[in-house]
Amino acid sequence: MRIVQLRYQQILLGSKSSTPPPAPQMLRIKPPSPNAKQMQINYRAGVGELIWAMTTCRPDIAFASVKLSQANSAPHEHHYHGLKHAIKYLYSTRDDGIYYWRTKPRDDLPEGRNPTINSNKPDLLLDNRPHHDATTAVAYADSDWATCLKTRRSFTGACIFLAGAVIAYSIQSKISINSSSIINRSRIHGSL
Amino acid sequence: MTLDECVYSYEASCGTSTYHKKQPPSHTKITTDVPLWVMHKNQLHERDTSIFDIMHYVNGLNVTSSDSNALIHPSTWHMADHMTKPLTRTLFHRHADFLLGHVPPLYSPVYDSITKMNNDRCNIDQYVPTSFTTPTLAKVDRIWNPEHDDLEENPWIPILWHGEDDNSHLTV
Repeated sequence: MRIVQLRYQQILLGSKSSTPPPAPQMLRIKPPSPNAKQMQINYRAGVGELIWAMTTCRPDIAFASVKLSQANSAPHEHHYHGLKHAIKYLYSTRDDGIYYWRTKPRDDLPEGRNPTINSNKPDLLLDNRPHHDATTAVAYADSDWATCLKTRRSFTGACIFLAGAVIAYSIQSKISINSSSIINRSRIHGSL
Repeated sequence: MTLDECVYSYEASCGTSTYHKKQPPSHTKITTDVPLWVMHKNQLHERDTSIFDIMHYVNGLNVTSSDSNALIHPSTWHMADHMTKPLTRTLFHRHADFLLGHVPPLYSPVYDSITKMNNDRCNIDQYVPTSFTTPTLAKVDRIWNPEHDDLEENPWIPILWHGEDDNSHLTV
């Protein structure tokens, strides 16, 4: 007994034969991972520190935290180096946080110092930089396609801006393997 | 709000001036890097239209059908790239500054003190990167603090001084 949807697929996809999408990258085989004593760091504890910082007020390390957390079961040497690099970045920018801006200053509050801008300041004077009102929520959504070398999963990310900074952000590694990034983008738009 | 009012054209979203002029009133803006207006132009399910395009169009239609939402297309400043892919150093810090609110928004009075070039409170040296190494760029760097040899017999001095209120510090 054979159950197919040939007619249905022909209607949907047309007369063209559906070939599997090309793989964007080749799968690489990694050597066995070193132990924690050799690297002098507890990998899972370090990733936990990154995730805690990410969930509180550091959305800038969201992608690095999620990528490092995917190697919790068997981290390799380059994962340890990436973790150390992320922790060093987190330490060097430990004064950073999320800043929300008023439309008018309040005189009854003490004057605080301006946040440190790490990017190149002439870049901030370029055109097409985002300009949003204080009461307008702006959501950004994006997705890649099968960038995970092992599972071919896709990353989807979204962040919502209000009052000059992000108020909500999410990053997910999608379970389903899609044939196009448009499906991921449409889903993340629907979730917003 | 119809779909025509919600979905902008790709050319309109690229320019800052036209972007603000054609921007309809909405409480929430959802940005995507796939222009939905292409799907709007091809609504009918033709022979070469794939199911993925239709799904994207339908989802976008549901999102933009409400009055409080608008779907726009960012040109280069796509903040969601920070969540989905590893970025280079320049782009990473640029996105991180906007994500964390380090760059004040345009409506904030602090924005003028940081980014405006003609503000007296602003130190112009902070806009000049220290990586200017070539002789030509070094002269460009010294426009704001010129030396005597840079301005001697220079026919472009009146043009360079155009718009300046006080040019006494630039006189040779």
